[in-house]
Amino acid sequence: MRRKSFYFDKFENRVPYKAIPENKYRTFLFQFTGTLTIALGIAYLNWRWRYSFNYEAMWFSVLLVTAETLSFISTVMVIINFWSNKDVPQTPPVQYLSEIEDLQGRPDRSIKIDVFIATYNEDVELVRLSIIDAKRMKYPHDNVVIKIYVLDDGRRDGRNPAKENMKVVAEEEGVGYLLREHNEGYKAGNLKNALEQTDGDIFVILDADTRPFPDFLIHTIGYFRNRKMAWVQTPQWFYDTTEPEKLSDIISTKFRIKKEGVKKGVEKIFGKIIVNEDIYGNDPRLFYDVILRKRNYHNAAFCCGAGSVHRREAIMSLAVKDFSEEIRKLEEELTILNRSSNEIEEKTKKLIIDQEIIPFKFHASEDIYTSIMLHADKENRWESLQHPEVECKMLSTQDLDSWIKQHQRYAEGSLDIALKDNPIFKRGLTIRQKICYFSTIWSYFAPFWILIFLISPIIFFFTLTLPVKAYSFDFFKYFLPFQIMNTFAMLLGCWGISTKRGDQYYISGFWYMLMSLFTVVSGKKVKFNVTSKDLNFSNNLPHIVPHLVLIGLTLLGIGYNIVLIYMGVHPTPSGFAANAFWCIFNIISLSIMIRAAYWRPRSVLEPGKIQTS
Amino acid sequence: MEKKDETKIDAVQNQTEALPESNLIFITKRKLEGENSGVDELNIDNRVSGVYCNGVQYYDLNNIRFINNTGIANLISLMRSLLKKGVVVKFVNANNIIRDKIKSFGLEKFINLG
Repeated sequence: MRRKSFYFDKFENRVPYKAIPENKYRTFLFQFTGTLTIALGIAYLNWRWRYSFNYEAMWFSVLLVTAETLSFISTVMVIINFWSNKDVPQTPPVQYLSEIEDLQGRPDRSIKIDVFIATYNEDVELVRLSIIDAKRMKYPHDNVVIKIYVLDDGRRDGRNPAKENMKVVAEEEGVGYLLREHNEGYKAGNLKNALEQTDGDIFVILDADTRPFPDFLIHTIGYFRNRKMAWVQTPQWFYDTTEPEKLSDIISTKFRIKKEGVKKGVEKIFGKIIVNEDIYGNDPRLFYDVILRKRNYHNAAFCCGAGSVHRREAIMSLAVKDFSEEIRKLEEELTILNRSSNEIEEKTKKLIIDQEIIPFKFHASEDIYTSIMLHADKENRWESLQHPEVECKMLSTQDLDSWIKQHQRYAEGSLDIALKDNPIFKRGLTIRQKICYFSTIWSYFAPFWILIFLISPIIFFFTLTLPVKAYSFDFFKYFLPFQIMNTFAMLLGCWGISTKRGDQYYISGFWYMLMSLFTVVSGKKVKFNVTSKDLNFSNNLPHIVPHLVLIGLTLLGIGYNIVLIYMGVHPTPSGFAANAFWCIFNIISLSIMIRAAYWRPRSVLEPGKIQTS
Repeated sequence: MEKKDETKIDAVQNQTEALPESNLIFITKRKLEGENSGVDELNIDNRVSGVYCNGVQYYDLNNIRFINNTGIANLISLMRSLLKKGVVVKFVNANNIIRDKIKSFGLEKFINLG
C-alpha cells in the first residue's frame, strides 16, 4: 500500500539543531551586562520620570514613560530568567520501579511506560506516522513494558461513516485505542480518561503530529531517578518551517517574468537577498533552547504538552490534592456560615459526587497551569526539567489564521491564569518560580506598551508635540547606554540565537494579544481551539487591518512632516529624525504579519488541504 | 465499632452479592495499588472483599499492603460511584500506610476508614 503523501514529506530529512553547550564565561558576561542593563535602565527611567517631561503635553509624556516602565519590568524579569543555566546530566534508562520510587514494602518490578498520542480531528494517516515513529522508540530493557495508546477525542471508531476511522488505524498498527463520549476538559480531559484506564509509572504525551525519535525514551527516562522529578519536557522542533527564498525568484514568479535576459537581470540585482525564512516565526528554538532551558536553574521549566514525559504519581498526587482541597474549602465556607452539621454533610456529599478527580487542570493552558500547581506543592516539592536536545519532530501552523488562533489560545490561557490564580500570589512557589511564571504571563500584557510605542511617533507627526522635553544630549546620554547594554545583554543571554523573527512577531502580535486581553477581561469563556496544521489559506485581511492602518498613518505622518521641513516650518526637525528612525523599526516589525498573511508556498499552485498521491 | 465491622467482614467474606445488583461495584486489590490495566475484575480472588449492610457498603482492606496516589484516586472514584447510588462506603482494616496516605491528603474526614 502506498502511503498518503503530505506537504511536509519534502522536509523529512531535515535534521534538528544541537543544543548549545553551556559556557560559564558567557554566563558570567551575561550576568555582568544584565546587571548593568538593570542599573542603566533604572537611571534612564529615573531621569525620564523626574526630568524629561514635556509639561505642555503631560498626557503624552506620562503615557510614553509608563509604557517604557512596563517594558522595563519585562526586561528585568527576562534577565532574572536568563541568569544562569543548570543542565542535568543524563543517566541510563530506568529498569526497575525501585529506581524511581520507594517501594514501601511492595515487591520490586520492572517499570511500565505508556505513550499517549492525543488526537481530535487530525488526518488519521498523519496520526499513523506518529504511531509508527512511536513504535520505533527503543529501550534497552526487554522487561520494561511500553504501551502506545491513541487517545481519540473525535469518536472516530467507525460509528460515523463520514469520519475517517481512527480505531482501524490503531488496530492496524497494533496499538491501544481509547476514546470517550464527550470532550469535557478538551485535551486535559482526554488525558484524564487515558490515565483512568492505564497504569504506566511514567507516561509520554505526544500530539497527533508529534513524531518521537528512536532514542526519545532512552534519553529521558533516566531523569526520573531523581524521585522529585515530576516531568521532563523535550524541545518541540518544527521541521516544516518555511524555507528561505531568493527575492529574485519571488519577483520572477510574481511578475511572471519569462524572458531569460530579464530574469538574469533580476537575479543579478536581487539574487543575494534571502527572504521568508520561517515566515510565521514558528521556530521555537529560542524558547526551548534558551528561555525554558534556563528555567531549569530556577526549577521553573513548565510543561508544554507534546513531547513531555511524566511521573504518574506526581500528577495523580495533584489530582487527589485538588479534590481534597475543593471539599475542604466547601466545608470551611459552610462552617463559617454557621450551617448545621446535617447541611454541611449533605452538601459535602453532593460535592464529592460532583467533583471529578482531574490530573491535568481543565483549562485552555492545561500544561502551564498544571506545572504551576505541581511546582507549588509544598509537601512534595516536585521538580521539572527542560531536556536540551531535540527528541521529536512536529508540524507547525501553516497559515496566519491558524497561527493567530494558536497564539490567542496561549495568550488567553495565560491571562486567564493571571486573573484567576495568579502565580505571584500562589503559595508554595519560590520567589524565583513566581518571577519566571509571571514573566510568561506578563509578556501577554505587552500590547499595552507596544501599542503606545507604535502610536507615539504618529501622535508626534500629526501634533508636532514631543513626549519628552527635547531629544537633547541628556536624553541620549541616558537612553543610548541603556539600549546598547540591553542589546548586548540579550545577545549574550540568547546565546547568539537570532531574535529577529521573535522580536518582529512580538511587536506585530499586539493586536491578537489585545483581543485576547479583551476576551479574558470581559469574562468570556476561554476556548481550546485545536490548531490546524494543514495548508489552508483563508482570508487573513481581518488580522492585518490594524497593521495596515498603523503603517498607513505612519507613512502619511512622515510625508506630512517632510513637507513641513521642506517648507521650513517644522518646529523640531531633530524630533522628526528621531521619530522617523523609530518608525523604520515599527514598520519592519508590523510588516512581517502582512507578509505572512499573503505568503504562499511557491510549490502550492492550488490552495488545498493535503496533496495525495 | 471497628471491631464490630471486622467481625461482620470476617463472617461474610466476599459476599458482595448482598449489595443490590444494580449497585454492585467491585474494586480490585491491584487497582488500589495503582494498577489500572491487566487485572481480571471478574476473578473474585482479585477483588477486595466487601459486604453490604443497612445501606453501608464495607470494604475490607486487610490484604492491601500499600496504596499509591493512583490507588487513592481509584478509591475515591469507587466512593463517588457508590455515593451516586445512595450507598455509604466504609473501608475497614486499613493498615497504617493506607491511613497515613489518606491523612496526607487531608481526606481522613471524607474517606471513612471504619
